[in-house]
Amino acid sequence: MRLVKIKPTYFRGFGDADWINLDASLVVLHGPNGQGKTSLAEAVEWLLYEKTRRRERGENLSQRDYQGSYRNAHAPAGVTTSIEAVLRASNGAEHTVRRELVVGARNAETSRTLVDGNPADLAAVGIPPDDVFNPVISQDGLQDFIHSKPKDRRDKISAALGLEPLVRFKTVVDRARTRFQSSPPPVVVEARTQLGPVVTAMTHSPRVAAIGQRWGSERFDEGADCGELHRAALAFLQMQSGEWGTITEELNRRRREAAQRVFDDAPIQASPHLRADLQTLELQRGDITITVNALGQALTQFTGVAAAVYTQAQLQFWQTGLRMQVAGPPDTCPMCEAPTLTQAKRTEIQQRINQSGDYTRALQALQDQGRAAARFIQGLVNSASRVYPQFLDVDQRRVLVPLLAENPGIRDAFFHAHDAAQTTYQDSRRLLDERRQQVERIHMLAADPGTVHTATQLAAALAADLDQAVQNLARGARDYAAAYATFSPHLARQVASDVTVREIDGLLLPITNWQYVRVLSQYGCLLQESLDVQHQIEAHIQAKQAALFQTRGQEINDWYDMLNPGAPVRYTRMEPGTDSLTLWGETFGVQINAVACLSQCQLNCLGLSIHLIRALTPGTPFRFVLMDDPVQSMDDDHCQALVVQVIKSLLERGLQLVLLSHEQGLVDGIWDTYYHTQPLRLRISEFVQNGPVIEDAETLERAIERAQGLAMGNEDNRRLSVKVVRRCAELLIRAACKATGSTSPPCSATAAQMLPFFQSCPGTEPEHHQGLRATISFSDPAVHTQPGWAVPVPQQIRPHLDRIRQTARQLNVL
Amino acid sequence: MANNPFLEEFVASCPGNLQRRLADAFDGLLPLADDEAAAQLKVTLDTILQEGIDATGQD
Repeated sequence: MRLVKIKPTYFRGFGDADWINLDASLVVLHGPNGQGKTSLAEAVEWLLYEKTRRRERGENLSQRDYQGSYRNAHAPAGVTTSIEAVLRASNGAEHTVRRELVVGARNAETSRTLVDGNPADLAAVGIPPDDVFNPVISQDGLQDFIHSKPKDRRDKISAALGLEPLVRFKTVVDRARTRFQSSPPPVVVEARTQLGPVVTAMTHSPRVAAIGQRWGSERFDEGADCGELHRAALAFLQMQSGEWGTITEELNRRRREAAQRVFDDAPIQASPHLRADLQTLELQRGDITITVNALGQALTQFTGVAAAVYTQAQLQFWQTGLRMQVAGPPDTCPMCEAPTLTQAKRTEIQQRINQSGDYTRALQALQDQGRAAARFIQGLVNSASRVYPQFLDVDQRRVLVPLLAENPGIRDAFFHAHDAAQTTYQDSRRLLDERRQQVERIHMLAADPGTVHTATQLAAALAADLDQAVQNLARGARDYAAAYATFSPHLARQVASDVTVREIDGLLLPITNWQYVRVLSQYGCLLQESLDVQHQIEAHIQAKQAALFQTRGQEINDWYDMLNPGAPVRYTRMEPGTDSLTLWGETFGVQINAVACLSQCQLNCLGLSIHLIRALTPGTPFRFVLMDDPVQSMDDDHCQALVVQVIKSLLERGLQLVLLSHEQGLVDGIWDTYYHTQPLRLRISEFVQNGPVIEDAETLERAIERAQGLAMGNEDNRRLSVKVVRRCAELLIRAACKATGSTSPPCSATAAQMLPFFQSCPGTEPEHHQGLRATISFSDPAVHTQPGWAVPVPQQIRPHLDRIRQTARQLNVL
Repeated sequence: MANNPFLEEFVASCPGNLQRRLADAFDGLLPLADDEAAAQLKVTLDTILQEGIDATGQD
């Protein structure tokens, strides 16, 4: 996969740039420092991997400093930062890949990728997500792994050898494990909290104290601990065998007995169903009004009919009189024997007798309602008794006083709450009992004119009395429950301090809290296993390193030796240690530490060698290498070696090389040496707010001038001049094709192969074709190797250049 | 299943459930920075622990 062209948009130093053509086997870009060369290198790196090594290194020091640094500072709001490139696969197929910067919440920088216009991972065109094959040799990373801690150096060189995923895997597992240890999940925190008191209890139980001590250090052995605990419990219970359920049940029973021997708290325990019982009481309170209203209505009805009727004695008298009168004269009264028992009187008497029947029924109804109200009040009494304890008797109080002697404040506060609750209960209970008895005989009070007023007063105040009593009972019960909740842990502690109870707790608590033992045991195992995995990764890396140093280590030496042929002071080999890596060199046969003793130039060569083997890792999908200022510390000889040896070797391997440099001499050297390969020469002409202005450094006019200048020089210059003449012919053909809209020849075409494209350009004449053919033949390198060929003199070169210039002018391309 | 051949080779040479789980999880975290990936992998360790607890809780 080669780079054909690239278009950075508001990335690093670039603004809204045009496409940058890179379609040649050798591309050299010259530009001053600080004018965008590194931005171009980083653009390729970010496009491929969503990150750059420079940014990654920087973020390890300070994320804040580097946040947002991918986006150009002049980028307008709403415009996406992106890199787009056309890549050419080995089979000639071209793909447009694009990465767009996505800035999310809290300025988090991610990206999305597109392949041929569709959202897709770059894996779709064979680019893996990890940068094992990173083809970009960045200037700032050239020596960073040399001048670093031995461990970091080992990791970085391992990464360069192709072990980066493993090295990162080890680093990330290491950090994740550290986090897992320092910030355990909530389930572990909970288990630790719960198991703390268990461990304390176990240390008081001789049979399991040793296990408790181990658990205190979070050293668990589930199988062995379980067996030991089982045996200890059986021994305590003097049982030969038993299931866990039986053992737990028996221990619980014995604990209850032992605790009761110390103090039986059953009588003072707050109701375990307090909430439900209080709800019941509250519901009954809601029925008070209904019950009391029914009673009041019956009383009112009764008093209404009582005033209009005879007493029972009068009723009997008149009924008897009416029966006796039947035998005498019509209007004669049987009692006084006077004619007073007229028809009208008879009717009145009969009416009053009838009304007396209503009285009887009303009295019965009042009696019934009185009984119903009494039952209702008894229900309140029953509910109230459920929300209160039995209360302490004198003996129990006498036991508690010394038992809680160490906490007199807690004890006395409880006694106070206890006594207040008891008073509330007894007072309310007394009131309810009184009211119950009164309503039970309310009909008797109402039937007696001397006590009917008492009955009326009782009914009027009954609802308020009952409501107040229920409220007092509920509040008292709640207060007591709160006081008992505060008090009971202290009491339980005191009870548990009893030797027997303590021993039972030491056996019982680890059994009933076994689930927490399991959690912490598994947590410990996982910590150990993850540590083992770390060691395994480390061992695997070392094994891979050893193998790679045998093979790829030799490749490093080969590249290094290309740059330092025959040097008596040189790098020789790498020696991996457990957690380090030593770089060895030699000086006239004596071994030295390369990092400490080699020059910056030699270390520059070593860094370049290591990065080269990384870029050439077997299996790489890339057929290009991009070098950003690779000769920072190199002198002229080493630069020359880079040009003559290293670049030659890369080109011979069929790789595309894109080299960015501020060194004019280096660029010229590469240009002259590899001119025959039709290199592409670019230059940064200026740097403006919109970024670097990158243009083709080789125009037809410049090439003609250069060839003319060289033609006036010595033999070597004239030999090179002939090459430039051929290049002029190629540039003329390309310019003509472009100007006339004709098909351009492929970039790899030779001058002879390009001629038919020129001939098909509209406006070209046969004499143009013929002249250009002669020039191409003159400058054909195949001719130059023939016996008898002599380097042309200026007079032989100049006519070709004149003809090219004249043709170019006629075609308006100069 | 880890797609990365280097991780796959490691898991093949050191087989085990934890090795496999960590490698698979890490494989999906390659684009992240180390610290972020470590935070995610810690969550994987939390999950593995919880699964173990749940499994033994059913015993």
